Amino acid sequence: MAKRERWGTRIGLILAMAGNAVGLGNFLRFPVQAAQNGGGAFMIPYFVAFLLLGIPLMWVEWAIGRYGGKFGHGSAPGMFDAMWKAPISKYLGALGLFISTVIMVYYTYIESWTLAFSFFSITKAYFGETTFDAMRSFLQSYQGIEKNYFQSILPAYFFMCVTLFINFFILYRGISRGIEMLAKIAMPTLFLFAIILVIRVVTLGTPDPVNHPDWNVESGFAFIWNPDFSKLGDAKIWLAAAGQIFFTLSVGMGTLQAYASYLRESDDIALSGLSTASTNEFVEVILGASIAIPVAAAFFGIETTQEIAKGGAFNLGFVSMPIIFQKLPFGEFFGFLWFLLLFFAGITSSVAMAQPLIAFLKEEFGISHGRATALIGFSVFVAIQFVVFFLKHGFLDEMDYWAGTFGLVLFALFEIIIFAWIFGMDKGWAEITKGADIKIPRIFYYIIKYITPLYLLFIMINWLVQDAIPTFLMKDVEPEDVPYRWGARALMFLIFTIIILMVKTAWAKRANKMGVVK
Amino acid sequence: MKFTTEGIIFMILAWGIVSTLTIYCFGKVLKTKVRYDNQNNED
Repeated sequence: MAKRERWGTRIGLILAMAGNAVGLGNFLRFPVQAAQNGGGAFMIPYFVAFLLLGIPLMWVEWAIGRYGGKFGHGSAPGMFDAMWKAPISKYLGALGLFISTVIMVYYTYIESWTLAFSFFSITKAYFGETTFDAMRSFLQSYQGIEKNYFQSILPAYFFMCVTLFINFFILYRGISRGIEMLAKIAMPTLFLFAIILVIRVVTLGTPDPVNHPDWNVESGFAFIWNPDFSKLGDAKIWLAAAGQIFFTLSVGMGTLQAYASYLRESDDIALSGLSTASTNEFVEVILGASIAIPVAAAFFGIETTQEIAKGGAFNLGFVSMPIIFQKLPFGEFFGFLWFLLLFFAGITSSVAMAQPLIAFLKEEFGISHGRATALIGFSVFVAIQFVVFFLKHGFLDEMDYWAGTFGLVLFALFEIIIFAWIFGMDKGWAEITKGADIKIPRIFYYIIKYITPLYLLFIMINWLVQDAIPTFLMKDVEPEDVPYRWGARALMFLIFTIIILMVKTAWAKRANKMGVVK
Repeated sequence: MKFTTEGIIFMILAWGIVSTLTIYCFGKVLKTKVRYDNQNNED
């Protein structure tokens, strides 16, 4: 077996894993979800989902990764094949490669907006766009949706290229010198920036006590945390909490497994996995909830903040926040910190998305690390063109739904069934607890075997009925966008077919090799 | 909107749970210093 790379330090691994999990959603999606789904009461289903879904899946994915790594596999097809000797297992694993690759294509583009906006903040490019309409127009002209401040898509294209280059340069440097080093720099910086921003927000008080005495930070915290117990009886809240936990931890993507594959057989995964999950929760529940919504409440009042929250995460991050920075003393500096913080949160996730495919090409086809990185970098560059130029037609939304929402749950469901029921929970439990630095309560044996799969099935069925069918039928899509949406599906189908063919070829090659050896 | 007592309790509880878990985990991680680097002792 070829010599595999390894992590340099345990703290580096945990920071890289946490960096993978911490993303834009921690700062933009969580506070909106909490505020809209019962405030403080949302934390009840949220923590239940964390215990029954998040932590179990985290341990399962670490265990699958370390187990696969023992056989020299850094991607899901090989890992699933190692756990389940059936011809279909490697193709189910191919779904993990597909999901992380597709998400990387559009996620890198969004990430590039954060880099661009940190530059626009420090250069005060958007200063003067003081209304929601003006700022929305600034964003849309940057995205090439309309012509206003920006007359072409060239700036967006430039920042996209820079972001892609940084991503693949880090990946080119490998696990220890690239991804781990990035995490060791980006994660503490992210913490520092977030703490500075939280202190700034908390000390804002009531910015305009004469005209708007009730517009204050306190009302923003109240908006997020005041519990509405009547909502606990609504299944939608439980589904929203499960969805938030699922997305925030970056499970169901094949990336945690890829990182864990670079561990040795006896290395702890129980404590490291729990540390990863808790770091993510710290960033989300404490830091993420204390910036965007409270500051919006202080400057726009609670009614407008409610409208902003309904407008979604991008509206909050790229439209509302820049307006607020213009009202703050040294706003260009705080805007720069905010968007750079989002960039660090994004890049530590996006590098993880390419890693499974790089590992697959290296391990199954014997391609050198540099060539594999360059090949994937070029492929992502080609695919991202569609996202950049067809953004206004919903190309990104279509990919996000099928790969970034539906695909994740489907893949997680497959992996937990293979792990707990086919590989077997006894062997699975032995894997999770091997080399453990903490004692995992035995109850998690039963949670992983019964409750987590049922929880996932519940989410899956609900989404299938509520979202997947209407989304598939393009119920709310503008007629002129329909061909582009089909284009996005065709591109995803093409990526999936290429991955399936690669998996098929790799296994045929392996079978031939074994035949020759025999 | 006023920050209610229940809201403050929920916030403190949520922050407390998350902080305690994080401090517990990192306390353990730092106690059991492990260096994964096996460039020199690869099989």
